[in-house]
Amino acid sequence: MTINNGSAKLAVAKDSNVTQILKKYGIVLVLLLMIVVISILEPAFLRPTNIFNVLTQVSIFGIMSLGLTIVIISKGIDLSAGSVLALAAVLAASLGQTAEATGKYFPNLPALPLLIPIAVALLVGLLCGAVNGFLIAKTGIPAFIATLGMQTAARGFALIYTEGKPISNLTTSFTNIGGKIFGVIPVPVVIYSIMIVITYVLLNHTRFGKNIYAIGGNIHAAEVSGIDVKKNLVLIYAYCGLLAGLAAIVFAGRTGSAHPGAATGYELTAIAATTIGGTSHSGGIGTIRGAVIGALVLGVLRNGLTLLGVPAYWQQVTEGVIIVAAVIIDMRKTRQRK
Amino acid sequence: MKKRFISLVLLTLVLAVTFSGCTQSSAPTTGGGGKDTFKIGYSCNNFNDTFQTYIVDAAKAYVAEHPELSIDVQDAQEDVIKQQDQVNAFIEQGVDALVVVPVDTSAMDPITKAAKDAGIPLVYVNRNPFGENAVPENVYYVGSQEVIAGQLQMEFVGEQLGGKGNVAILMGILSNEGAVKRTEGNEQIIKEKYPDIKVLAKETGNWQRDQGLSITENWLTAYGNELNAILANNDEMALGALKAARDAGRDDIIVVGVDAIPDALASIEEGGLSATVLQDAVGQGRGALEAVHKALKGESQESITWVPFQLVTSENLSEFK
Repeated sequence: MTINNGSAKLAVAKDSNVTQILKKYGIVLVLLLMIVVISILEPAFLRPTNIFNVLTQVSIFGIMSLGLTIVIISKGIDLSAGSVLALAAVLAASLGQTAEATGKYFPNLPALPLLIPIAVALLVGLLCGAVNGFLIAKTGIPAFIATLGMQTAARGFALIYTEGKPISNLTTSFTNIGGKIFGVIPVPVVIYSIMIVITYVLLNHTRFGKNIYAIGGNIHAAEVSGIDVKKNLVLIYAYCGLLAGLAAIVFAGRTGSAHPGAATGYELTAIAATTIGGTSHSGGIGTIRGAVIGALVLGVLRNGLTLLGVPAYWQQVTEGVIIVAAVIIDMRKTRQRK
Repeated sequence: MKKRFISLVLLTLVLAVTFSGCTQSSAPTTGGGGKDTFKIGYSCNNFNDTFQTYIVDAAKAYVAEHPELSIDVQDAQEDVIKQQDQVNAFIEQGVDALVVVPVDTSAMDPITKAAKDAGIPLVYVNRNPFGENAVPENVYYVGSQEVIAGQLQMEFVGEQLGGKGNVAILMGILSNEGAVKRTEGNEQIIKEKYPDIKVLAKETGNWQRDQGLSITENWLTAYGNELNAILANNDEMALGALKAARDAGRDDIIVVGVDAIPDALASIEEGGLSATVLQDAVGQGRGALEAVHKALKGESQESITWVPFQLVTSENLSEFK
């Protein structure tokens, strides 16, 4: 900026202040606007129980969207997260049933300590993710294809394992994961918050995080600069899978059952949240803060439309329009930056 | 390139052998020619749909009792084109009869025509593609009238509420006949019998328990004590709604479902759900195979077999366990 005229400079500075705020906080403003409008039309929205409801409802796809943010920053995609969630959930649930459950999966098994189903879910998620990463890194097939394959196969395995039937009668320690601490703070929200912090640190304060941005920005440059791209890709998808496994535990804890058809299409909700939050599908751009705000936009929207009594058919239309509108706003932001 | 091609061929062969190994055990193949054995192709709308798996189980059980029958069950994954392809593939394989659970009841004409051209009997199950229209020759329908399930639910809730109060309806996937008709049944009864009952909200939980749970949480915020009962199009969503109500300390809310899955029956027993409606999966699965069997043997039968719905409450629970 080399304008010498004082007043002109001031005007430009003022203008850029406003646009800068819009640029930086565009989606936050959208979220605040939504909250204000919904609260005016339906004051019950601001009740603490409702706020916690929104946060709980967000947490499952919110946890998934943290992993997808990392994947999308690396210029990839993971379409398998919802199916991996279902597979991890049914496997964990089958090991988390009460001793006297009807329709028990392993009739001779006593009620196992909670650690076992949790470990199984995390392991299944991690493994599925690692397979995704391995396929992408070693064979060079597009992430879209590799994870689409996993989406179909993992859902298939979940169906084979359960013969299409839900698994319920989970132990109380398991369903407590869907409950509240001190009767106030929902456990899913606590888990989501912890994962936000961990993923934030991972992305912003570690070499792994820097590598993710470098790979997404320019994979060849990253390779030349000495980054082990293949190893990092496996890790990226493994982490995304791990989060799907964690989301599976929250899901099963919350509903008290696991269904092989569970979370169908949730990966798309998670991708939408990430995208609304400003993560660019052209790679190298994106933040965890954005992913959280994007998830909140969707959560507030769904909750708000129900509170306001918007008819079911129109809710879907509204949600679609808002997703696209949010991304248009966001694209204007990046275009202006160029 | 050659190497790759060969490995691909080998892989295909290995997979083919493995999978045919899986199915062959349950399917005694015919020697062709003399038709003393019959092969049936079964196209299911969606294996993710728990209720459908019970119908399939009942159909398979019927086949197991009749050594002259064999069955090949395929999943159309809610894709109407995939279902058409499956049916055509069955016909190519030379099946003797078809059983189809329509993905989309309004798009079954090509399948009906394909069966007619092949000259084999076709039985539609669970979802009625004909509506008010006449059923063509050599085509049969076995199912229940969805609208009645909704009526039974609402009659029960109306009685429980003493004809006064507010309800909300959790619908299945909005394009499914089951969702539309059951909801219609709810509303018919309100209109005819209970004018003082008001529908506060109708939303889709896509048949899923977690979505039923989330929506009910939001309803409880929006309507609070005004909400007296929740009618869900299926048990999975009803169980989600029940959990939301209980978490909010609202044990007074009446929750009813449809399907009578084992989880729902257990819930009625411990005082959770107030009622569910049994859509008789075993009746439909057996009924479908009986219709096929009769058609193959050339016996005459009605073109439509209605399998009745039954209301299940704590009073008659023991009959269904």
